[in-house]
Amino acid sequence: MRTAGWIDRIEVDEATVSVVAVVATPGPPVTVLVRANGSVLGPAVADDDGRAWRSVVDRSRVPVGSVVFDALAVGGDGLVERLDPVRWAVASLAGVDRPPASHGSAPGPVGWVDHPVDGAEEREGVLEVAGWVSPPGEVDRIEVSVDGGPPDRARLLCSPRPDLVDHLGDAGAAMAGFWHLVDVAAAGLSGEVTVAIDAVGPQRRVPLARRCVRIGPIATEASDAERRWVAALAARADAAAARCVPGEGLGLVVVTHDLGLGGAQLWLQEILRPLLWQEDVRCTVLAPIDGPLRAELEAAGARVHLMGHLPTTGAAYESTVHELALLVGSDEANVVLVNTAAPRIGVDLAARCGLPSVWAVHDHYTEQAFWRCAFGRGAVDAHVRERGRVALDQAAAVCFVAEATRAVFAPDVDDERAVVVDYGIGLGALDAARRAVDRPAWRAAHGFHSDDVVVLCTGTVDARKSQAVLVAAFARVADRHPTARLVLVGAAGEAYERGTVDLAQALGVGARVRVVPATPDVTPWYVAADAFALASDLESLPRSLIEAMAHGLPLVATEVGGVAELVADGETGILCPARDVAALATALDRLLTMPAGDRAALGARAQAAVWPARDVHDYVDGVARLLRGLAKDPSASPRELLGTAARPA
Amino acid sequence: MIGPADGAPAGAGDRRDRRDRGDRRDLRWPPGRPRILVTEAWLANAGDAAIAVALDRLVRRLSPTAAVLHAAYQHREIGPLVPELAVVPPLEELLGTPWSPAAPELADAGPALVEGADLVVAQGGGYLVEGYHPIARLGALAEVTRRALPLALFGVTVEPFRGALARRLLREVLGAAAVVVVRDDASCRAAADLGAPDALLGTDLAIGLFPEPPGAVAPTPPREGVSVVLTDHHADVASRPARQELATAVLARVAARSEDEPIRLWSTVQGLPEAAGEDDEAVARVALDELPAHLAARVEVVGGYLTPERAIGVVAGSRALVTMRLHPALFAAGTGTPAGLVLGGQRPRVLAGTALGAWVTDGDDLAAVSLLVDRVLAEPCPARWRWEALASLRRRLDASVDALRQLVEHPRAV
Repeated sequence: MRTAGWIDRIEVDEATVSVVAVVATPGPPVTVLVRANGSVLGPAVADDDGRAWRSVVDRSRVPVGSVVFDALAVGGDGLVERLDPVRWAVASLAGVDRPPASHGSAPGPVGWVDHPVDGAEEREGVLEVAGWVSPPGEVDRIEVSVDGGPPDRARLLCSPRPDLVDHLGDAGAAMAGFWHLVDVAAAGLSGEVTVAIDAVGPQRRVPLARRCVRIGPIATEASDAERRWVAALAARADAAAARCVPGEGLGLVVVTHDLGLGGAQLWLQEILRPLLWQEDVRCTVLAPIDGPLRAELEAAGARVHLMGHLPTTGAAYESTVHELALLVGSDEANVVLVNTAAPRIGVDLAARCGLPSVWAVHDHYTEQAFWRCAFGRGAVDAHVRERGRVALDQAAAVCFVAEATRAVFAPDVDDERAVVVDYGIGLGALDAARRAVDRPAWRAAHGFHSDDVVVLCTGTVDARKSQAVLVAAFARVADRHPTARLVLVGAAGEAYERGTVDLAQALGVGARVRVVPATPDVTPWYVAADAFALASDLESLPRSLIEAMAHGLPLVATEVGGVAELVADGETGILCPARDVAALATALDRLLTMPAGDRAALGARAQAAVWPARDVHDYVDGVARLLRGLAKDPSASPRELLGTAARPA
Repeated sequence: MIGPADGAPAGAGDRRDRRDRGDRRDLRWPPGRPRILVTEAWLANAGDAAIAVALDRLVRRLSPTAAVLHAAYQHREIGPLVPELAVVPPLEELLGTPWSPAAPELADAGPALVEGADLVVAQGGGYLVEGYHPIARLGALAEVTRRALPLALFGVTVEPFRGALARRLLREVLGAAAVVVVRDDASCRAAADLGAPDALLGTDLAIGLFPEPPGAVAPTPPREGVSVVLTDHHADVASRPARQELATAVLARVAARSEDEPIRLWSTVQGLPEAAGEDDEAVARVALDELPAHLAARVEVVGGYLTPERAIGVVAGSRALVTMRLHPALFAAGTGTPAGLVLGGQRPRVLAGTALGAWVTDGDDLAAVSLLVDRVLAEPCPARWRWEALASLRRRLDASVDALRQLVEHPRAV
């Protein structure tokens, strides 16, 4: 930590306490939050040159006795630095009810909103809200309201803020960041809007900020020279694509976002595994970067081509299409399967090669939110966005695993091409693997007592999966359920994971929360578990949920995406709203308070709901029918191929 | 270097001894250790049979006490004609695969025979070609590796595969094989693409039948006339009519430019149309029918199946050879016979890096074919330099034999 400034003087009169902080860091801070004994008194006001910041508060808010005054300077980049403290004696005044100095702080959370800044203009089709709030134990949720509309809940406890830990004196601040995205088009926003952000805790609601933002058109700046260059590259790519001649059999090109161990990757594995046993199938998998799935795909007979990171500029995009068109041509491919929303370049590639594509969308993002989440702020140029938008029209079939996700895409994908194929997993293999696990031995080997109640959460430890929220919720009920243990399987060494571990320590449940690295074999963990928890705030239909149900685990799940299509609240699981620590804690408490017999019955009903309805065979058969049918006749109707009727939007 | 059995001339094994070596009707190992099961020979092709003979001799030289069985295709038809080889049904019949179930009578005995082997050697040849759909072969070889039997692939051509199932099985086989020796550098690349980056570059084992220069061990027979080997063979069946046209053109050019010399039409694949699935003799006759009568009068069709020994004899008795198959060209080099090869694809790459590579054309350009024929017919015979041109391939063969030697001597150590 570097010295960013100091508390210069403190002036106390009968009514107020005035604290003046001097900021010494280069560049003026956005704000300075003055604190007494670690509790924020309020934001300060800068003098003309921006160096001295004065905070004047009512004396009733200041503890008496020896008080440590300091301040937090919030920079333009969102980073927080602490100004050197001073200790000051604050005398008591008769007739004023003040907390003693030893008490420390006033109740309620404190925080700051980094984005949007007041008066900013948003030109990416999304309005991003980001900031921090602490301490985590005192926050249930973050509410974001635009122009007084109904509040959305921000993703909370989602971004590590190590810069806050020392300043706030709170280890839990390691995960103090919150974040939210508003799709401007979906929300119907334009012109000047006002964004209100509140932290809602068990005791009270704390307004964090009110910001005025201008919503502008999506930026499309490109010079004529750039446009001509991209057009030339596109023509070259089109020429290569035009030479593609479809071959016989099933010449499958798969374009996927990742070769890791996530749910969407395992989905791909499930699809390809039986297909690749068929003699007439050729398969080339295109992925941005390497991952553990590559070896399995190659062993299964697929060719894997690593194409580098997904392009974000027009020139890179067209060059990539050119390269991939040559590959598709050499393969005599006749159908393209695109896995997840991110590699939508695969849909464009297929269309330009004159091939049908099946686009499997597991992502629940709206169109503009997708660009921001997949690539980051300002990362994607207008050409790539436009090609991505066109891809929605080009796919011969867009395949969803949940009606809820289909509904998200309904404005962009017509009903004839949008199909829902009920997702399934290999139930037979799961059962066989399950039987091979010795539960008592596994639990003993992993340090669990026979009477421990193990709550399992599987999935990449990631902000979207909200394991930190689960940890916070678990911490709230941990005292009531002393035998409960929480196991998070899916760690990949990311900052979010480290922050989650720190949060568990800060909330006093570090010894009862275990974070386990991602593994291709999760079955023993399911067998060892007594219950399952899904805390995700963005899903289509998570594979882990089907797995948990297939294992007969009673579960708690956030009601996101297609979860409610699978879990009936109170019947096959307990549902609660996402992005709400209190709601998840209540649901967990409800589950853990159940008599063991009731929990078992809940799990049994969950198991019956997916067995055999969610077996992979039907699912693979459906996708295979789409692929083969379109390979044979690119104009075939996806619905007819699947034998499904149109579903209501 | 592989030599003729017991020092006899190439192809002239001790038939009585070999005939007693194994009973083909009951599946039992003959006496001796280690037990080497050689697989994949397509005996209807005398080129493959020549490889089998060469490998048999090589193994026996490396381990005189070895028991060697050849799990070979067309074992019933060709086995009696090549008594040097002790043959049993092909591996896929012995083990059964999802694509070629085992015959009921082999259900127990076949797997038992295979499991009795100390080492399985998949002999070379050009069968790992996607257009041949070698799934059942690959399935059987994969089954060998699943049974934890040591496996060597020796002198194979591996063409690029795109089909997922074939790639899966090839990866499994190549990945588990103790040794992979390919016969051309393009196969090295294809093997690397299939997860076997350490494949050794060897050669076609048939050249091992010619360890000595022509005439060094036995006098060369008198030479007369021109041999022509025609075929319409192509992995893509749809291309066969075009190959027939090419065959007709090749014969016409040879007939037109060979003045009054006799022409012998024959092939390493003929006489067994049903068992082999193809018959070059029919191709030869179609081509012959196209010739003007005065040219056709000089042409003799050597019909029926030719054993490797007889095929080599035909080549050695000719003063020149024009061939559309690979092995006759190797026989020609081994016997110092001027030869030109009209063949596309990967097979001619066996000759890459040797002076013989300049005597190959793929047949796409008829002018090039005519030029090649003219050069072959103009070359003096015998052409001892052709045997010498194989020196680099012999060195590669010796290097790969070292790898095989270790396996034969310590098969179970793998």
